[in-house]
Amino acid sequence: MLRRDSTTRGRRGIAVIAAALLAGALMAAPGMARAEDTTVTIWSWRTEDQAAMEQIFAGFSAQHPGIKVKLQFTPDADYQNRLSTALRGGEGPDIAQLKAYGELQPLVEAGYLEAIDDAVPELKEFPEAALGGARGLSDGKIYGVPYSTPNMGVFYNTDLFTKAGIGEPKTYDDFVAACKVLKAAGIVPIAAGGTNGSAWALEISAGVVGPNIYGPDFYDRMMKGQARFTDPLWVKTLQRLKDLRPYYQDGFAGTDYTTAIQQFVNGRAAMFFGGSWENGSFKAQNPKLKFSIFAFPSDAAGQPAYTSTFADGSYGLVADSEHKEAATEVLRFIASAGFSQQFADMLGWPPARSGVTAHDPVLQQMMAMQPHSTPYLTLVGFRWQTPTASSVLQAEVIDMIEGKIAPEKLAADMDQAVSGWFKPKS
Amino acid sequence: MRLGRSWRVHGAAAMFVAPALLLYALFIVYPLARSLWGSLFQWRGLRQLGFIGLYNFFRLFAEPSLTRVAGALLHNAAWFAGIMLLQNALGLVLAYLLFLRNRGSQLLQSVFFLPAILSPVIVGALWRLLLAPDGPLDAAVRALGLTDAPLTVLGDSGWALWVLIAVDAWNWMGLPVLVFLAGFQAIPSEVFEAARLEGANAARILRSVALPLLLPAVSSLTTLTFINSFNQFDLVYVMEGVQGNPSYSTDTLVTYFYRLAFGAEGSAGITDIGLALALGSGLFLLLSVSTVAILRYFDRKAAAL
Repeated sequence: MLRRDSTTRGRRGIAVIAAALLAGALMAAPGMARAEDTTVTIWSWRTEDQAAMEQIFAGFSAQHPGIKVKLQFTPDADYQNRLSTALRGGEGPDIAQLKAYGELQPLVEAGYLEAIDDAVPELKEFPEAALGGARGLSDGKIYGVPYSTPNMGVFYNTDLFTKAGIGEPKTYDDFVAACKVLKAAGIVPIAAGGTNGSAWALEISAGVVGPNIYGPDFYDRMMKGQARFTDPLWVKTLQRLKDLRPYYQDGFAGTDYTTAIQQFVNGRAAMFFGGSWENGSFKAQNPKLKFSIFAFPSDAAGQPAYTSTFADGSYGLVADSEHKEAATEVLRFIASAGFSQQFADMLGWPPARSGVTAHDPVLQQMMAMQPHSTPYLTLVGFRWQTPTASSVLQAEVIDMIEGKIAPEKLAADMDQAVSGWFKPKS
Repeated sequence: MRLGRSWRVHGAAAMFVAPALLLYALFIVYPLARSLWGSLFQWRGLRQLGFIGLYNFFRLFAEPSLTRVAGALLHNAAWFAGIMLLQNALGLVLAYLLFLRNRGSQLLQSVFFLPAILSPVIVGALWRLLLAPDGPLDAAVRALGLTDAPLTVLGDSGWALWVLIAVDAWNWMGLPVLVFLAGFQAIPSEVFEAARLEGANAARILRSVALPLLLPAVSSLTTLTFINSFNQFDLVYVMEGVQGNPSYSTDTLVTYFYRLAFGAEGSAGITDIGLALALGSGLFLLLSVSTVAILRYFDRKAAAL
């Protein structure tokens, strides 16, 4: 509350000063107009990235003397509510970090955002996989500049792998054999956990193992209504999470995401199923940790290993903004190759657009995986209306892995949840 | 003349009541009426669309929502029963023991009440740590040789709800102890003396003499417990998330409401406001009718004495 009040007051103050300066500029000689700095406010939930983002936008301000960028961060858990409340009251930022896909739609439908297809020509340099997350469902227009398309895979501790004498597994059988070797050596093969409300991390696990079971065309078949969650391929995906149960740490059912991460970061566990966003945080939590990533291997040898990918979010233009011209300049900067390069270098996330060179070795690995990717099924395809497929998967996945619910039952519950609203695209 | 005076008196009273009434109307009556009204409309995201009568209520009690509502209602009922037993009945026994012993009872009373000064959010976070695999309780259970397997009760759909109820009882145990002890002390000592002279033992005195006299305390505690049990949210939110994991085994009516109104984990903003408002209105109706029924039940019981 306090923060919002002071923001408004601050902005009003700036408006008064700007008006005064404008009046002054009109009377003074031309060329003085520079003095009226426009401040563009950006809201983001990535509190973890604050330092890097401040640095990136300081560079922008140096190149654009008339525009100042003010970054404000709100923790992820409160972000969406805070943003929609502020937008409803007309007290939002000029630019807002936006969630993707279904989570974006309420803001689009309420008319809080402005389409930027034409205003930001750089968007033409983005692949559809990135733009899909920023499109409005009803009009197909683009409402934000995507910043990253993370993909998923198996993070592994290279030291522990070397010590156990194993390499990157090429088939599923290899993978299980590697787990057995690690377990025999007293190392937890896979750190996994999803209790205390963090079961989304286990949904990610389904995104890691799934593509190599259901294949790259399954997403399209699901979208066209030719396949459903009750399909044997999806049941087999769930079954695989359960088959790997012997290689998760003891006490898996009572472990949450944060604790599982700690086990991997501290070298007690050799592998962790996760997404690109872990890259920077692993490094930050233990700079000495030597790790890399591979795509979960396919069943048969010689087949490419597929990975799930999705657009994480975007930066969009708020319809009520009083500084649209300056904000558009900022958005065009976010859409530039220069921003993406800095973003990739400093944060280690796979960039959303082309024309970026990866310097970080783990990022290089992740980007090398991307040509063989398929949309993250439960998010891109089915997280649009309630009840989402994700909510059912997250609720029942621990019981499924622990053997209290059959994979067939979980698959049927997911199918029933989405059947009330999902309409296949013909 | 008389009319004018009565108007003056009542007018003055109305003036005194007005500020409180205004606040009450603004912050209680208006939002309540607004959500009741809103539950009769179709919603799309945050936008209110056309009038659809009771269709939201129909959807609430049809699949796939019915399973969630029924499950949550059952968990709330179990919560009520569990708290009545673990917190209130046990609290009565503890208060009686403190009353009988008297020496050091003031200190113990404070000890029992101590957790109640902690917010449920802190209590939840604390017990999450205590109950984690490799946590202190895990170590204790293993040291005692009770089990070899790691402690995973919070991830176990058969145990989770009961663990949460026990934590809630631990949190508020001091309240019934406080109320009942005050009740015991308010009973004239002659009553206990007479019962003892008649040859009644301590258990019999508690059951046949003290309990009927404590009926007002039992009535208020039951009502409070009922309301708190059916509004249960924070402990579940902190310890199991808004999904009421695992497998909805700790889902309550309010966590379900939260998911409908604000979205589930990783699905922020994907909401069903119409269903949420219908559920909220239903919960309000259930609570007000049941509370009145509970109070009337105890009133009649007290009158029968």
